[in-house]
Amino acid sequence: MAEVEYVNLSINGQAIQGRKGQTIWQAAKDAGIFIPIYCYHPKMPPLGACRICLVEVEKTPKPQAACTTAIAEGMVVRTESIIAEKARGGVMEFLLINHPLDCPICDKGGECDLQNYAVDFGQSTGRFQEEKRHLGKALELGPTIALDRERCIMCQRCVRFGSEIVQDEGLIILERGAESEIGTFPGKPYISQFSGNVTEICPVGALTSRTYRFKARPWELKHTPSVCTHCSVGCNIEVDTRLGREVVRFMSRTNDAVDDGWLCDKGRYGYGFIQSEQRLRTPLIRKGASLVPATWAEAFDFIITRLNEIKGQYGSQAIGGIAGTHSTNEELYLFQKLLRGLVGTNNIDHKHGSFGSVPGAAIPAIHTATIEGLETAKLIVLVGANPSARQPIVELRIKKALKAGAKLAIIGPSIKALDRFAAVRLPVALGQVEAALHASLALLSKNGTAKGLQSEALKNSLNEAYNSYDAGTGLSAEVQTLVGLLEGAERVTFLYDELTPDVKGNQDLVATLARLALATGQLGLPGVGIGRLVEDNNSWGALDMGITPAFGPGYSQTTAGLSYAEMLGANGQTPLKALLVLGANPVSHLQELGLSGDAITNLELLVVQELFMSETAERAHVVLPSASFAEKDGTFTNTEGRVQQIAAAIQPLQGTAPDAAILLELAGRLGADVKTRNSQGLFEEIARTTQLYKGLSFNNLGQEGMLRPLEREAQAENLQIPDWLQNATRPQPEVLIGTANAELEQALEASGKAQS
Amino acid sequence: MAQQEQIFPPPPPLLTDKPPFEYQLLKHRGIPGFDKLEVYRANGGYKGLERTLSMQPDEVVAEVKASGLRGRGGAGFPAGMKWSFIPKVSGPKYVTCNTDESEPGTFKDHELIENNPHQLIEGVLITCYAIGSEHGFIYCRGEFARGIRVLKRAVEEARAAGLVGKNILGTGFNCEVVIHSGAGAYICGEESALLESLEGKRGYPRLRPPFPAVAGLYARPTVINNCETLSNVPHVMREGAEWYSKFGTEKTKGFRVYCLSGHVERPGNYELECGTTFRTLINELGGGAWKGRKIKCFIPGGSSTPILAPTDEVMDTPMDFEGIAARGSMQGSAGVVIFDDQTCIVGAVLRLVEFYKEESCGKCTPCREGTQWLVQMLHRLENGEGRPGDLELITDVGSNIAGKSFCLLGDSAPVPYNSALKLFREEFEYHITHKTCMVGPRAGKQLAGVH
Ligand SMILES: Cc1cc2nc3c(=O)[nH]c(=O)nc-3n(C[C@H](O)[C@H](O)[C@H](O)COP(=O)(O)O)c2cc1C
Ligand code: SF4
Ligand code: SF4
Ligand code: SF4
Ligand code: FES
Repeated sequence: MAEVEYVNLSINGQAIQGRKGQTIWQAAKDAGIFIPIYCYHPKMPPLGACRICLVEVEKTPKPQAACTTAIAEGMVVRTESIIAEKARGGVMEFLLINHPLDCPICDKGGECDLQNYAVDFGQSTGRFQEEKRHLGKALELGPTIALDRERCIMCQRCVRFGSEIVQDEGLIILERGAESEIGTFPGKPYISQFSGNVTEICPVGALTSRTYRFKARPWELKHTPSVCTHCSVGCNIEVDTRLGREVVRFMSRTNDAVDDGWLCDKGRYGYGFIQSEQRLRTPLIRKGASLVPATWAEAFDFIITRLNEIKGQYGSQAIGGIAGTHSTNEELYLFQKLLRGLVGTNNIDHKHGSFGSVPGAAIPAIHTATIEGLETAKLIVLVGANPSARQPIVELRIKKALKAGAKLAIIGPSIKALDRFAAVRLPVALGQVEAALHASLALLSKNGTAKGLQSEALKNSLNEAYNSYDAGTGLSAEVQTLVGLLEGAERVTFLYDELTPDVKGNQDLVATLARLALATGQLGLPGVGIGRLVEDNNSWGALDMGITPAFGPGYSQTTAGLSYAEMLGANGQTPLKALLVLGANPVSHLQELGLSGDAITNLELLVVQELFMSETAERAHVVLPSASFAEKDGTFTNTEGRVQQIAAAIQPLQGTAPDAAILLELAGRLGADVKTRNSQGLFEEIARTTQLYKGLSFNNLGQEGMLRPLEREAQAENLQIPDWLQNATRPQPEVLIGTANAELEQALEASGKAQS
Repeated sequence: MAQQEQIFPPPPPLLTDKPPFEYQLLKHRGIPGFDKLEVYRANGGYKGLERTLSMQPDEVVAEVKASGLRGRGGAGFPAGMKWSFIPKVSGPKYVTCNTDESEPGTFKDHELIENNPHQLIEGVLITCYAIGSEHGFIYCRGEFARGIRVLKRAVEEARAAGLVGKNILGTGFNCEVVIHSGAGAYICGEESALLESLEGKRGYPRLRPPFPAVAGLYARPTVINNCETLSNVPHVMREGAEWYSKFGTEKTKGFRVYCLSGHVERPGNYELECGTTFRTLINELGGGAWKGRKIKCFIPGGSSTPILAPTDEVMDTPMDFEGIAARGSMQGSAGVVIFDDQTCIVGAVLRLVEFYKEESCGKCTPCREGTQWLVQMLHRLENGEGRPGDLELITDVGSNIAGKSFCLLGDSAPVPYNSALKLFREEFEYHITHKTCMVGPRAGKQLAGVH
């Protein structure tokens, strides 16, 4: 790391030390001195357009824009002098002369920077007596965003969000000078999966979400810090409720480590489900062919009676549990504790991608890549992953890293938003991804540039593989380019999708990737190395909490139980008589797993905790209506292993209950002495009993969450290279690499379609 | 052979048979077919390039520095010095020639490219050689359709003769010259907006630093010079710095084309030694105000320069950067615009400010909003709807634009009003008190509500 150079300057007579390269605005901000901005946005390079930040700088003839002017030793800055105030007042006046001042009907009114600064720096009476500009209201720019051109102050933030951040066609400026207006390319509506961000960065009420227009006034809103549950990134959100009752919008709650201040539209606009009419509002008990409403007491009595009967008759091995990947860590922990401790079964699982030959205990240690760490990587390799489609905000972070000079390699099907940025693409079908990694590993080994491969067996198997690849058409130019990049890069992040190992051909993808990371010196590096792009907001949590038959919480050893597919009838029949389902819909996966739907209907007891009626719930004997994430507290662990908190924004809907409460009630009725009822207590128990979460506590997670201690403290030199990494690798049967041709492209397209 | 295209603009009729200054830049006048390579070469053309290619690039830069040649685009920055800022790094570097010429009252580049294209191409090639560039771009104002045609044809002619392209004149020097058409914006004459536009982006000026010499076109080191500046370069290199620096004044060397327009008997381009007086240009060569009237005032260097009154002191001022600055105005682009004594100054100022409003790129608040407001107020004033306090308000609004804007366009917008108010305050006040013009065809007429 380069030494930080400090610069001494004074602002308003206050001596300040800034860092070299900072602008006046940045140095002032760090010193707690406020300078207004409109066009500048901390996530974008300075523009210098709006001029609201003009300040007086001694020895310069003109006021200077604080957002663009670099600080210098001995600089004397004044933000409250006559010169600075005149400049700022002039800009304020200019911005207001054509502004409609329709604050009473403006969504932004109350949280608008134009209003705020006008109060701070504007005049109480206007000098403008000419005709204001008139333009039509609420122009629909696309499906999500409406524009009020009269309110626009032409700060260009929205335009530059497209050009600088998304780096794609977005909003543009039409016309020139005083006629300038925001718009889109002719005939092209504004369609972007990141569109909602422009409403948030628009400093005025010019850009508004069509879903939020006229829904609430800012001063009626209650803001609750939370985390988006629509994918595994776990972007930080603020759940805004009107008068604490109705959820009216999600806003970004900037977390530089995770979302960098952005949300995707799936996340931002995905709040309708919370207060949907379709939510389950009462427990249901099966009476013959139908599920009929029941009281909670009836439901609990029914479940406990049947569970005890089944346990008595068939033994605890006839009982199993399947959890989903949206529940909180606390709920998942409770769920497995209930099953393991009270029921006495290890038949616990959730739907997750396979780890192949990687032993459970090694799983967390090899996944050290972080989202923020992408910015420190010199090379980013996407391994059968499509973050644009599945973890959208990761796309923006990758683009940010690329802008700063990182290179991108894509192994696998085309990614529309990222292909054009790639330094190299290995456009193989999804089922050939592991083969591509293996070929790269073999070439590294052949080149003698592979590190850490100690066993002869492994080396021999790789050399053999190399010869067989080379004997055919030879390794393709793309593999050679990729290997060249791998050999040259100091820090590499490999991101793979958790489902890619489940595609035929990739059975041992994770181990192969781990060997490649080892060979390139990236295994276990903090921030970079391997990253697993998981499915849901708490997919990692489900693994960490031991929702698997292979290991308990924290990947601890346990006696094996039945797997997900086995419980669902992989062998034609389910060995289970009772199945508890926590926020999951396994019936929807039967086809994907190649199973028929019969097994589950033969269960004597199927209990489902859910928000909505689902295929699984329809088959249940008891359905328990759960509360959504907005109605409860708890923690989630995102795709990089960051543990983040959510808080209840509204009361649980009438008739529903948080899953933790349901599970605790069941536990109590199964004879447990329940001491801890709140999420905090549960989390402390997890941190106390689970090595992986050691040192974390509800109170130190803070607003931005914390990486699991493992990720935080990962050190390459501490990493013991485990034996399994040195095992000989299986030869890759059908290597398509080197035969890049039309057939391949077709295979790709097909698998690309299948994936999305 | 196609018919010889008519030379534009027609040379102004002269008071004497002989030009007041032996044509250098305007040598095409009087020599038919000067836009053709053979005619240009027969008159010393490309000799400067030949000599350049026999020298080291550094020596070329030194020679241009020694000549004292200063930029003709407005600011008068020494050309050789600008070239010397180009870092000696590997990779592409570029030369861009600013032929956007849109400053009201300026039309010299127009004549130069339509009639003497090879002079400019030669200048571009020499500049490229001097800074180690293999690409010269000539950014032409889009409306110069004919000039662009002439330039393109000349480039092809030069290419066929081995003067453009690979291995120029067998010396191993490679250089492409590209003619680019602008899309109709004054702001694209501002050098950083020009680079944006040339890159295919919207013509907005860029933040500096980085300066173009470090990161210009496509973020590579770039020299930007005006068309006339680069048209001077072949003369410097053909005849040498010593010859060149004999012309002009102490700090403003050489010769330049003064554009004389407005209410004058003989408007047109006049090539003169730098430092010739206004009197010589306006009265002796231009024949003074037209229709036997008097000169009320004039713009000395394009619309962005403060208006001057024709006092003896002003008329005897040498037209060079320092001389005009001493009178409180600027040399600018050497566009001299004459207003006769029948001109309503309020109307003239309105027309000038309208130009800035129309051409404001809209990037920054003071210029975008302020110019529009200025126009609205001046429009009222001119049409008899001025109110007490308007003059102070206009002045104050102007002061919130000038020095607060992102680029010089905004800074220039209040210049016509401020300088005119200083000279003709009573005329502005008359508009408010009498609701009509004090001078000009509408003087004394009831104006309110007319527009
Ligand atoms: C608003 C604006 C318009 C300009 N227009 C022109 C122009 O049309 N032609 C030109 O040569 N320079 C123009 N300039 C000056 C250029 O920015 C630049 O200084 C010049 O091209 C440098 O060339 P020189 O050093 O050879 O004079 C303009 C500047 C501003 C601020
Ligand atoms: S719409 Fe909003 S963000 Fe976009 S330029 Fe206008 S004020 Fe700025
Ligand atoms: S990227 Fe994922 S976590 Fe972030 S807002 Fe979108 S859906 Fe939510
Ligand atoms: S002063 Fe501002 S609005 Fe005017 S032309 Fe320059 S950048 Fe554009
Ligand atoms: S915030 Fe500095 S110019 Fe806009």
